[in-house]
Amino acid sequence: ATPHSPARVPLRAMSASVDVALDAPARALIAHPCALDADARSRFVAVTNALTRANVVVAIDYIPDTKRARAHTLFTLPDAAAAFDIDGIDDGHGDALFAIAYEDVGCETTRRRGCGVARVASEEASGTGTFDVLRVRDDNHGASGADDDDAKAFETVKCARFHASRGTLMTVDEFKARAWTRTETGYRATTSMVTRRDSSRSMTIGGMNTIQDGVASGSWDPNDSEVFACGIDADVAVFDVRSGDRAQTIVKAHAPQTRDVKYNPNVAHEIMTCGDDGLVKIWDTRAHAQAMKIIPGHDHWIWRCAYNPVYDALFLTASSDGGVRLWSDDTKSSHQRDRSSASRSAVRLVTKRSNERSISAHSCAWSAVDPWTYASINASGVVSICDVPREEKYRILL
Amino acid sequence: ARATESMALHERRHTRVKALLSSYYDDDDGADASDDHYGQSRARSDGSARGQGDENAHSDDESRIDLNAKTFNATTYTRRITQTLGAEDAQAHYVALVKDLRSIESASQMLVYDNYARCARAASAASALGDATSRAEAQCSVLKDTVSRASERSRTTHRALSDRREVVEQLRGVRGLIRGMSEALRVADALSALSSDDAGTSDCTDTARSERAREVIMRYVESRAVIDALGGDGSTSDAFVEAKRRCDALAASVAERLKTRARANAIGDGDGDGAEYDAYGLTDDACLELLGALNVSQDELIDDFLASRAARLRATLTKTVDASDGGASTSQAVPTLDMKAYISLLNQSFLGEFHAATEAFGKLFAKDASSRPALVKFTKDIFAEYFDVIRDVFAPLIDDKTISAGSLLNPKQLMCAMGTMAADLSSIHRAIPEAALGDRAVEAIERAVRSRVNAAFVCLERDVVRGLDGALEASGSVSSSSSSKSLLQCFVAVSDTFLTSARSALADVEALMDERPILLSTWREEFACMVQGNFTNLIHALVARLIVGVSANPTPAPNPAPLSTPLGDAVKALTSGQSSSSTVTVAPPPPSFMLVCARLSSFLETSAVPHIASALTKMFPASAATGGGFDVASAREMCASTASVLLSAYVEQRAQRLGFMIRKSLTAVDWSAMREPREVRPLADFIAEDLDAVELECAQILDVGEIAGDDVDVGVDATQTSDDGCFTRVRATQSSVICAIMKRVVKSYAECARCQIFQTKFAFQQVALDAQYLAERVLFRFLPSGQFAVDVDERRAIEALLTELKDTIRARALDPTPMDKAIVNRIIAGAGGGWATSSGSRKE
Repeated sequence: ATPHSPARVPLRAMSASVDVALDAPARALIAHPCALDADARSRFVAVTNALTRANVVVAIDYIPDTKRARAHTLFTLPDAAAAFDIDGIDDGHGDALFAIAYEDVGCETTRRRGCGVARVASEEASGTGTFDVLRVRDDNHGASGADDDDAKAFETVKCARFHASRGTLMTVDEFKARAWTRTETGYRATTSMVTRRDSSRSMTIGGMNTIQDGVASGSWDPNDSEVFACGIDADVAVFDVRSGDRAQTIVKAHAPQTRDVKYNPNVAHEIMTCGDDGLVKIWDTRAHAQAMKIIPGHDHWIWRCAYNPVYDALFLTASSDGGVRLWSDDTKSSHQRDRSSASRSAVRLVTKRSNERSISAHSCAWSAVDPWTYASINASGVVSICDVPREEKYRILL
Repeated sequence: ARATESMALHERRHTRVKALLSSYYDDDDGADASDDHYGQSRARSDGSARGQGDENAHSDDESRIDLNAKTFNATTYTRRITQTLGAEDAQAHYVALVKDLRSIESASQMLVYDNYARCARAASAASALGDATSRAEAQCSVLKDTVSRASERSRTTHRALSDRREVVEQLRGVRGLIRGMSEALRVADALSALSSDDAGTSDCTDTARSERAREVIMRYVESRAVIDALGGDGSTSDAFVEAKRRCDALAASVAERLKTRARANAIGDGDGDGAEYDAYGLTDDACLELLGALNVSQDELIDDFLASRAARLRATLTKTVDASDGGASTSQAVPTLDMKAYISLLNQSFLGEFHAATEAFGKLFAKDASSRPALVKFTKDIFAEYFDVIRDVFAPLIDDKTISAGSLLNPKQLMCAMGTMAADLSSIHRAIPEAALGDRAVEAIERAVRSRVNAAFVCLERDVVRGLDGALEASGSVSSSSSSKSLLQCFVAVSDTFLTSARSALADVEALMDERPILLSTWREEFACMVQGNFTNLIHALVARLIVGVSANPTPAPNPAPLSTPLGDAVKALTSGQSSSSTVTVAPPPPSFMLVCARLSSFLETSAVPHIASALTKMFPASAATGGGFDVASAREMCASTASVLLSAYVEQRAQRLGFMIRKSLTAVDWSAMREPREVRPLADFIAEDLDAVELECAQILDVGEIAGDDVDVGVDATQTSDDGCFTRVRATQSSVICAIMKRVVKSYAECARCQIFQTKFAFQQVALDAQYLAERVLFRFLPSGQFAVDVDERRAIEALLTELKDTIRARALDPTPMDKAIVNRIIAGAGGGWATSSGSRKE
């Protein structure tokens, strides 16, 4: 237990997790966005981050009845693209679209990043699909110096997120946050917003193009199709695509780096952030001078957090202390009313899971099919799929 | 025997007369009866003819039968006679009987005649009486007429007389009026004479003068009605108007003079200037009496009187206060001011004065019922000021920054003084209960006690704040090695301050309760609540102060400070000073101070809070029994949680600083342009320096390793499984803290490396070299010796993390060709040697 963990309750016996090793370093994991055939399996999609061999988008199918998981390659990325972020939506025609942010490791001297959209048929045909690399430069407008700079700026891209319903893609690089809309010829940047007001970052700073600093991950507001929130340095920036500007800033949400921002799918204006201080904070975006809740979640950086899509009282955190933790916000579950003892610590640690060598967990995701199943991925490429403990499930359901 | 014989004879006669009369007057009946008698006798004679001989045998006996007997049967008698007697005898018997009858008849006739005469006489007498009555009646009615006539006549006479009397009365009134008018016309002169009268000019004695004045004034008062009536507005009589004008003017002047005299005398400053205000040699009482007679309102006089008395009382107050202030200003430094003496001095002068005032007032104005409210109001007002003074003295404002525990009043003295005050006031309270001085006194006492307790706590908090500030300052310089004052000394100083102050506060409270407990008895429970609440607030405020700048809150979180207390102000100043931006983020305090704070919290938990709680339980057993008041369990829980939060914050902050260095060392390098490594980059030395500082700080204030009772404390350890991985709970020991920091350092290194791409062989070699150096030469030195079981786990965890670091570096290299081991060793040895000598010399 963390020394100041709000949960002093004895942890329940772990339901065994199902582990699948991808045999390559990996950083990103999502739930498969497409509706699958009716065998109630959960499918997660991970993408590998190997520097010296080809990287793949892997689907991991989990069948809860047999507690077995199977991985198979959906798509192979182009050479020298080491993916570090992935997001996906269903394109409406049975295909899945994956926005993949990758490091270009082909160059000997410079570090470059890029972002592409992979279209993958949801059928089992492995290795098929197309991969369109997003380009800022629009051929129709001809080349210009400004475009060159813009393209260079885009090489620092850190984060790519689809809007789940509108299909708009948001990419955030060190200089611009860009909204992309899909055209017949591919994705086109329609709006670009300045990431930092002071433009303090220059292209020459070496650290600019690493994942650990600067722009972090973010998410669209599910209740507002034009609002995107993202961690930038220690702050949280909320971009409004309509005005094309930053709408809000939560200053110093997490020092020294905010890692992830998630909107609550069920409660408007509520966001969850996590970062290098090992804390999870829950904010009301309307009154963000102070966090509503501060949860001392982990002993090291927290890379990702995720609300359960159905029961938003549950959420996950994945941290580089090697742990993936499941939390329950008791103030949200209706069951809380008759449990006065838990009122002290509103957010309770349900389970914590850590591999023996504390290899950093970099991402976590809830299943799109089953709200009681989640998966996490660690730096060495092991995907662990778990179920919410039965007690917790009953606590919420009954 | 003769009497009975005569009675029997009389009876016989009476019966015989009656029988004879009946036979005489009632012929029919007698005939019938005789007929019947005879018929019967005949029938019997027929039927009993055979037994004649037997019956004849005793007929002689039967012939002497008594006629008067009840059983006498005439028929039987007759038959017997006829049977026994012969005709002659019967004849004779008959004759005898008739003779008898005749004599009886004549006797009865005699009786009748005799009675008739009497009756006739009575009748005549009655008629005569009736005549006389009617005559008398007639005479009476005549008399009544006469009487009514007489009364009518007398009434008429009376009416006539009363009219005449009314006239006489009017005439007498007119005479009085005329006399009054003349008197009224004359009284003006008398008044003018009086007003011009002066002590100096008069040669009579005071008594005579006063007598005269009284007489004149009484005369004026008597005739005033007349003057007012006749000389009033609209009067046509010029003489009277003139007289009224004069009289009014003169009376006013006289009244004025009397008033002046009365005021001067009643209010007078006791300088004996009665001569100046002489008024016809009248005494005070007489003056007031005459003024009353003159209908002059005394309200003004009362007001003046009370105002002058109030002024005098106020002067007394200020004089006393000034006198004591003179002493107090010196006694600030030397707190030996005897409060009891002070209050008795104050009461002696003030209450003495007040008594004099009320006495004088009672003497002068007691007759006037309306003067009472004025007196009550005066009492209230003047005592409000009195209590203000008392409050100023005994309940000083606690905003005063200069106040210190030493300069506070001795609680015993305070209670003594309060008791004296209450006793002194009780007599006044009895005299003027409407002013509710008792309540006010109780109020003043409560206020004084409350403020005393609050002041004690303010001093306590101020001391603690001062101690903490001192510790903050000292701890800032501790990390820069050669400081004379160690963190432990800081901690000891603060905790000593806290304990001493808390003890003195407790002692004060106890003294307040012991000395004159009666003064507290009415609000004892409230007092208990106040003291307990103050302690609770103190603990909460202290915890709030300790966790300033730490993002995580302990559970349960401390309450926000309810009032502006020194600790609360300190917290506010620390938190608001930084809030220039919209977000409230507070710069964290120096990490070493956090260690002191953590130690302080655990000290609070293990020692101070239980100590205070037991003292409070001893002091207020009732509220402890009911479960109210000071909540030890939650306070201890909060302190324990605070200690652990602070320790984690310390680790976090140290690790963050190191993480920042690592981050910069990896990102600020162009790895693609890296040349073949020749030496270790200085990062590891920076880390070593920081870890040195940490070790120094921890060694100063924390235990070496496993602390006793640790297993009891951490019930969580039972549930600690391999799921925790390498990051276990930080405990308040040197090895745990330093290991936690090292683990975070290695992890941050690995994470930063994972975000890099080492494009060239040399880049990889350089990073690998750095990592190896860090592992072998730097971290190794800080690893725990392994004397405790936990240390072994810690070692293993750090080694696992180092393995991950190495793996990560290899995975992030495009060309992971390792360096020649010999060269690596030489470089490390060289760097390490240099470092070892430098650090060795430093250590020595």
